Amino acid sequence: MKFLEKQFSTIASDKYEPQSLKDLRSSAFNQFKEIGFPKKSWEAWRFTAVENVEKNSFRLSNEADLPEDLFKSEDGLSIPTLLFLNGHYQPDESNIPAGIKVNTLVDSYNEDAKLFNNGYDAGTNPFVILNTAMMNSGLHIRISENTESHPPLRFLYLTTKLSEPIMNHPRLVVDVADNTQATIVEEYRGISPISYWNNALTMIRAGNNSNLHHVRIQNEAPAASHLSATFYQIPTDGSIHGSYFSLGSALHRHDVNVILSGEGADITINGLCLAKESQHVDHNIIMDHSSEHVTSRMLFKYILADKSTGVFNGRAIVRQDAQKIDSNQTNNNLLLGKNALMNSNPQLEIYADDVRCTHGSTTGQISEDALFYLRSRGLDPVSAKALLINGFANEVVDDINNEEVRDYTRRLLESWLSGVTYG
Amino acid sequence: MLEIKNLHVSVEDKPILNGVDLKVNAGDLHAIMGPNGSGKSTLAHVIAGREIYEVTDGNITYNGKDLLSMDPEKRALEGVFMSYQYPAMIPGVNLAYFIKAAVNAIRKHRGEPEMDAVDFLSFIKEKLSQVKMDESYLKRAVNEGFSGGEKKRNEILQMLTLEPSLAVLDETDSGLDIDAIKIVADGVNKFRREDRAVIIITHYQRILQYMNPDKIHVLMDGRIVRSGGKKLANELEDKGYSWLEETVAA
Repeated sequence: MKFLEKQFSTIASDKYEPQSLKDLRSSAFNQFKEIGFPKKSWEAWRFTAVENVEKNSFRLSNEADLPEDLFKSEDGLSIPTLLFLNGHYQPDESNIPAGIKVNTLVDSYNEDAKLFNNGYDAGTNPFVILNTAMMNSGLHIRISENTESHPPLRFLYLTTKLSEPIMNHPRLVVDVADNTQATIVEEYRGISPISYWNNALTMIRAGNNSNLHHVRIQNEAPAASHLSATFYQIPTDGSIHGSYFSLGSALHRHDVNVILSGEGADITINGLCLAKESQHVDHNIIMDHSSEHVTSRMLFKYILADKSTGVFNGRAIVRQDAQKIDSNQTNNNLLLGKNALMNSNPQLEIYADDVRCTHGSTTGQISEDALFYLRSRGLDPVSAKALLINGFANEVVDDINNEEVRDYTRRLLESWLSGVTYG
Repeated sequence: MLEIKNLHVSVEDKPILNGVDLKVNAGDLHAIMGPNGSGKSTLAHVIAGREIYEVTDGNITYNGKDLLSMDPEKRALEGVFMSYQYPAMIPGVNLAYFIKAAVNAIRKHRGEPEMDAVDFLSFIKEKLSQVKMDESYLKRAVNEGFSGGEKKRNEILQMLTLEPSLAVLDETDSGLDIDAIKIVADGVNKFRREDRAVIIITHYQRILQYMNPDKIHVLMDGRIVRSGGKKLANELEDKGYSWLEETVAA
């Protein structure tokens, strides 16, 4: 906590921020101090320890953390990209297509002070509250109304080699206009051998009858801690299609809150989580069906090697007046390591009576029968296992609408598989 | 091509095969018949190399090589093929991808160039038509949602594409209607060649009506108790296995 107080005083002394924003930060920071870091006794944090961030000391990123040679993205994904380098937005290195309006958070805040507190309830998630207190990096994006689909747009949060442990509290707010189709890719990538902490918050507000594909790739460095929250607000006939990939960082926690607030609102979230060594990956998802005739699906697949651990908490809430809901949540897990451990907890909380809600969870190992079948057709055990794992993962990868992004994530999966050990 | 001598096999310390002797030459088609639990499927799995079957005595030579010392994939690469009674499902992997991977693993082993997507497609289309499967199967996950008959045809399809030297068909006819049996038998007949051998394991003689077995063996209690020509199958059909059980016991 001490390092946070010290870092907060730095950000609180910023002379360019309006007083009301300073007040918002102060009140959030006080709230955070009251709540403190999560404890194991809290239901939502039973299986996830945050010592990595609590017991370390991180400094807020500053200009000195920018590398001398600016990074050029040559990763085979050539879609328009907005680059954040060690927490700093790089407009000169970014490519903004037509129809996309990009604003800094402070500018947007000056236009509309409700920007940060409208549309979500931070509840008691201390990291969401901390993000409000410390947000030091981020943008407000407006995707304008368009009859034709926008080209995919990427937000790349890159952490390069660091000289000491830093933290960033990025916030991304995306507003999608009515009747608009778009695809965004939110990617976190790191190569720093020194530990760092990203505490990200993304708010996505869909328009009426809009359709947004949200691909999220967490490929942080092995020494990183990645804590994050995503809020989706989906009004009448709005649709969100999420595809999440997590394969990096020592600690990964992602809280997702979905509010389906208008008739015909729909969301799908698919997740593929790859973990090895002693990595920990946790998704805590709450879907709030607060209108009639809304639909939701979640499919999360974890592949855990070595002694890695996974947590899936999915909760579908159906409000009393929200009839005719169709909701499905599935969590399937594949354990590659003898010491890998999965905690899966799909839950339903239903107050309406005319709904269709299903949930299911499976955890198992590679099928010996399937493995033998492939070997008896001439495939060596390593190729056979890779084929089976790919088959398990394909359902999530194949579902990405954009071919280039799909191929990119497939390459990430292949590369992860080539380095994995069994047993 | 294949010579099995005094083969003893246990599963979890329970003896299943108690001294099987069998010799199959190139060009031959042998049928192994027997009641349920006689060890027929065990014999097929041991030839394919399934680890849970423990060979406690005896040996198998294949083309002069010690088959039992080879890994399952090595056996496949050397031309041993097994058609499964209950083939495994491979969710998320489509049939085209799976068969292409297997074909190319074998081609690579033979020192032949790997097949590209275009060549593979025309190659597989021709094989599909031989077992009366349409192209839509190529995009489906391997054996997922396949009916019993579709699974068996898929096994025969793989036999025709992988072109092994020795094919062991484990109860490929079980549960099939007469049309499906004809398709399977037809596939086997197309496959047969002077340099290839087939062992067909079956409970019933039905499928044998559509092919010309060189020899029929009856397996009981883990031993081959009788060998003969096609007549033996007819005799079994008339009198049932109990007839032989009495003869063997006497």
